Amino acid sequence: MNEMRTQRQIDDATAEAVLRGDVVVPEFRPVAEFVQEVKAAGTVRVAPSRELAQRMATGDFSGIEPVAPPDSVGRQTRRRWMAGMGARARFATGMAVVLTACTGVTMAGAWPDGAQRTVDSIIKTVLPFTADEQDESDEIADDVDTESPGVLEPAADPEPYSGIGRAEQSGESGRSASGTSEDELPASRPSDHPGRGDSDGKGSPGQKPSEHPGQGNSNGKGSPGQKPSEHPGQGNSSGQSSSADQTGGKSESRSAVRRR
Amino acid sequence: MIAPSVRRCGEEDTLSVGEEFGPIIDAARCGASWALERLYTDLAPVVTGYARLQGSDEPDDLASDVFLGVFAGLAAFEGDERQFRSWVFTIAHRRLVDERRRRARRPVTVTDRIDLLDRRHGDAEEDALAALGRGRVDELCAQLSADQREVLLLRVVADLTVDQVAEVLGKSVGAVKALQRRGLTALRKKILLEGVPL
Repeated sequence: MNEMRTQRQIDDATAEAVLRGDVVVPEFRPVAEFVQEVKAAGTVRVAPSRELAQRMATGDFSGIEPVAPPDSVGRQTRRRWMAGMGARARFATGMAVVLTACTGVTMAGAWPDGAQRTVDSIIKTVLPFTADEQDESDEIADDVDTESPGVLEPAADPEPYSGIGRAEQSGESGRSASGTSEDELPASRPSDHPGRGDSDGKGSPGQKPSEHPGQGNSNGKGSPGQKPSEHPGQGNSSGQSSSADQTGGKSESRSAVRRR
Repeated sequence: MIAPSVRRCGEEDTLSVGEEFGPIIDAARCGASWALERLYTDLAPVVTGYARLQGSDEPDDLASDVFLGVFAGLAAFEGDERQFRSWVFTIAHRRLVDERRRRARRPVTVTDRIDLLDRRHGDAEEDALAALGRGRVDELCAQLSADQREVLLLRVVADLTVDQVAEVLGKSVGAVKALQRRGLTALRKKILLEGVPL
């Protein structure tokens, strides 16, 4: 009988009641009374050591290594969170943190030259993207802007909007024939050319227009001083370039499209 | 300097400072001796009892060592009385671990402890009974596993919550609850099997 009674486990609620000194069922009363005796162990007054008594009297604790105060809440939470994790989970978390940090440093190109190439090649094998891809696209864009500013290359226009390209050529020739200045060049009208990109019609000073029709991905932010689009219907400019653009060139562009 | 009219620490009161803790800790940071003595008087018996039941050979010295470190680092402390208590017992626990590493020995029993029998309060019979009672407590606590004993003593003697014990020991809350359940079950089993009169 006694053996059976000792086999019964104490649940959390009973344990809390015993530790608080609450009334418990007779079965657990002996352990509850023992807990109260243990609690009484912390009531015996003690005298401080000689050094502590002297320092308390003077308030001078210099020369004693101070104990660090409690951690911040974040660190406590993190530590508790880590304490609840298994060894594998801790290892996986640590590896994820290290890999993320290495990837970030590599993307920023902050490694020394040799290390940058090595780590980049490693990351290329692991991740589907690298830091170079973005750089290459930027280089291409820069090349286009710098090598052929404002130069039209109609012969090399393989775009699906070839009609538009021809219209542009017509507009170009018409322009040259009539001697229109750049200010009189037609402004693009995205609505005239479906599928012509995502221009949102906001201008920005000094922005170069796209020289190639079908490049509908620019924002078309025209502004004073901006070179107008040399290709009507091109999606990068949306009519906010200048008021002078809204002249005869527009009709030329329309007629060219109609002819097409 | 005149000490504020704070409530005196009763022997059965574990969280005794209460609302006066803020002014007392501020004064202690400035080195006011009355405030330092007050903090020591409130917590030193508990720290000493905890150290003794944990098997420290010199619990009084260990408590003094703990308070030297606490008072030296008091300027950087921010928090309430519960947090202060938790901090003090975190330090006490570390000191005990250091001492245990140095000595690597089990807690001593009442027969080895001359200081318990050496305390005199006027009545020899009462002193002897009290010493015997403390001896049984020591013995039963010493029979627990180290983890169970740490958790139970921090909960009972230090009067810390489960969360605070988890912080002091660097364990999860679930682990602390499991240890206190097992510890109480083990205590109950030993009390019943050994027939200890309580």
